Amino acid sequence: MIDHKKIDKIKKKISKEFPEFKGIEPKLIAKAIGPQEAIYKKLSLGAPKEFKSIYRLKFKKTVETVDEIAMERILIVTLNEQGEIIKITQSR
Amino acid sequence: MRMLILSGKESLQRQIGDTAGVADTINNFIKSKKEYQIKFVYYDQTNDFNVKPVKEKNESIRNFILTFEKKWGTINFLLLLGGDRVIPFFKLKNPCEDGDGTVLSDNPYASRDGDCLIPDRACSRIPDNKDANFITKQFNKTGKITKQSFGMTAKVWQKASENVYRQIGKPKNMKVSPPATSDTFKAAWLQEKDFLYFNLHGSRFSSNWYGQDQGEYPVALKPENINRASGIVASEACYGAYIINKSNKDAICLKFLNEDSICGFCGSTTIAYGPAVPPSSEADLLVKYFFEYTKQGLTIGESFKNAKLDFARKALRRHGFLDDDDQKTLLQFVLYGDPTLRLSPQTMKSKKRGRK
Repeated sequence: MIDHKKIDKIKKKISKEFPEFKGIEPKLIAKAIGPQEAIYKKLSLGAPKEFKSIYRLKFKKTVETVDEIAMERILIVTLNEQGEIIKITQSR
Repeated sequence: MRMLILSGKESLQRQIGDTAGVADTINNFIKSKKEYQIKFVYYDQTNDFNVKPVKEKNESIRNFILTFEKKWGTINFLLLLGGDRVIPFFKLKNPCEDGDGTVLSDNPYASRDGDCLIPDRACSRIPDNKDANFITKQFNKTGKITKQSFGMTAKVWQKASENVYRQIGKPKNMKVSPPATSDTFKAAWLQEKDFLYFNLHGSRFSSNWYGQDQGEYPVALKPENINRASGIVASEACYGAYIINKSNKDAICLKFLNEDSICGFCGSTTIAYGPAVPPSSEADLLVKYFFEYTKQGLTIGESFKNAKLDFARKALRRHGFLDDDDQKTLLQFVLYGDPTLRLSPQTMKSKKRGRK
């Protein structure tokens, strides 16, 4: 589970490590991911049967480049069911 | 190994005018590639296998390929000849909630079954750039080995980029933006190289790629910086491979392909993702694998396909599933150029033997 306390902790971490996203309120998305059996089969891998739940905290803002092009910047924090960070990714 | 070169005659004519010169070039290309069985077919014309011609719709063209394959045999390499108005990209549902309504993808053309995330065959595209000479140029390229590479990264992703660049060069030699910008960029940096790597920002509304340091986004590379560049290019920039209504004047990917010694371009059609720091994931991981295989001497088409397979395997082993970013990465990355090109003495010998 993920609660407000956990989200606040992540927001602090993001503000510190990625200052350009400081003050941005993230959108919380809960996702249930099925076994993806077709993909496992195509890759000749044994497929796990269980469903997994993940959470994604999406930080989004628009920035402007030096030549005045507006660009959307996205930072996503992906968490597992226990609320532990699996990865942090950014738009290129 | 079978290779199908596919285009639409009417739609290609609308883009470049007379197609006779392109057809002649492809016929010479076919003669020179003795190690491949190659067929050049227009999907809207009659053909040797009596596959019913179809209109320029992506699903119809994909079905044409599948039917053609049933009659001819396994197609190992597929080369799509033309831009979105000749062979339309698939506009797939975007797995991520971001600014992209759909994901422009060639994956369904590379796939034989209903699951288009994982490719079954090497697939690339030669955009038309509304220029017959641009197309013919792509069939007359060779991979000259120099054992030199170039890399450029946004400062904020320096550590992550080093982890990718390590496959092809010394990380300390990468240019970092800022301080490097398009104003200080030297065209010589891109010359006489095997690999060109870019981990920069991109936008569909701009012809430039950008660096980043905190809130500063300088222009790192613009089309005008590219002159006599060589090698295989991989870019992680958002929209780095976006070509709709673009030309070599305002799309860096097309500018690269218009260079005589650029063998191919691997990039993203939409907003791409990657980590700030290692380990490599998303775009970083895909490009890393692509470089690994091309460095081993595989063709760029096989390298691109294998990179997607390895990328998916790695993501599944790490987390047990492909999440939204992983799925989008698999769909959005496309390869431009002749898929049979490779950096190896073997190719150079065959080119010398067969090319006119």
